[in-house]
Amino acid sequence: MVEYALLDAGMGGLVVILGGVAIVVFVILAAIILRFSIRAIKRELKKETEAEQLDTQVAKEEDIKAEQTDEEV
Amino acid sequence: MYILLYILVFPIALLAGTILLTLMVEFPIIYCTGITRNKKYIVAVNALTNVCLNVGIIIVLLFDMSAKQLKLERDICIWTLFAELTLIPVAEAVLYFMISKKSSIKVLLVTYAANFASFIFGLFVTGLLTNRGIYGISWFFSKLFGGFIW
Repeated sequence: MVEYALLDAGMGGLVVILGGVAIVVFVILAAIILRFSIRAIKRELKKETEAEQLDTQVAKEEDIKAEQTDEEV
Repeated sequence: MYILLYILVFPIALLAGTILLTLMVEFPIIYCTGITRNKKYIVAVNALTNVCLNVGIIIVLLFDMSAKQLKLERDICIWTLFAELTLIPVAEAVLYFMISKKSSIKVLLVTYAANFASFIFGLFVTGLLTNRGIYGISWFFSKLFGGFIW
C-alpha cells in the first residue's frame, strides 16, 4: 500500500530504495537464520554420533566384563 | 512509521511467520511418528528449508520485476509447488536419515506427508491473508493452471 501511495505522489525512486532496503534486511535475516540452523544441525549430529559411540563403548565393556565373569566361574 | 513497517515487517513476517507456521504443522507429525525426538534438530531443519523456500520466492520476485513480467503470482505458485513437492521433502528426508533410526521409506513418507500438510495449510493462510478466504486453494491452482493456459 505504501508503494502505491508513493508512486501516486511521484516518488518512484523512494519505492525502489525502500524495496532495496527491505530486500537487504531480508537477506541479512535469512543469512543469520541459515547460519544458526546449519550450526544447530551440525551440533545435534555430532552429539548423536558421540552418544552412539558411547553406547558402543559401554556395550563392549559389558561384553568384556561378562566374558571375565564367565572365565572366573 | 509506515515506511519502517514496510522495511521491517515484510522481511520479518515472511521469514519468522512462515517458519512458525511450518513448525506448527510439521513439528507434531515428525515428533509423534518418532522419526526423531530431537526438538532442536526438527526446528533447525525446518528453519533451513523454509529460508531456502523464501529466498527462492524473493529471487522469483526480483527476476519477474526486472523482466517486467506480469505473471508474478503464477511464477511464485510454480516455485512453491516445485519446492514443496520435490526439493524440500527430499532435503528434509536426507537430513532426517542422518539422525533417525526408523526405516528410510518411513522417513521419506512421513516427511512428504508433513510437507504436504504444511503446503495445504500455507495455501489456506495465503488465502486468508490475501482476503481470498477459503478460496486460497482454488486461487492457487487457478493461478498455476491459468498461467500455463494463458
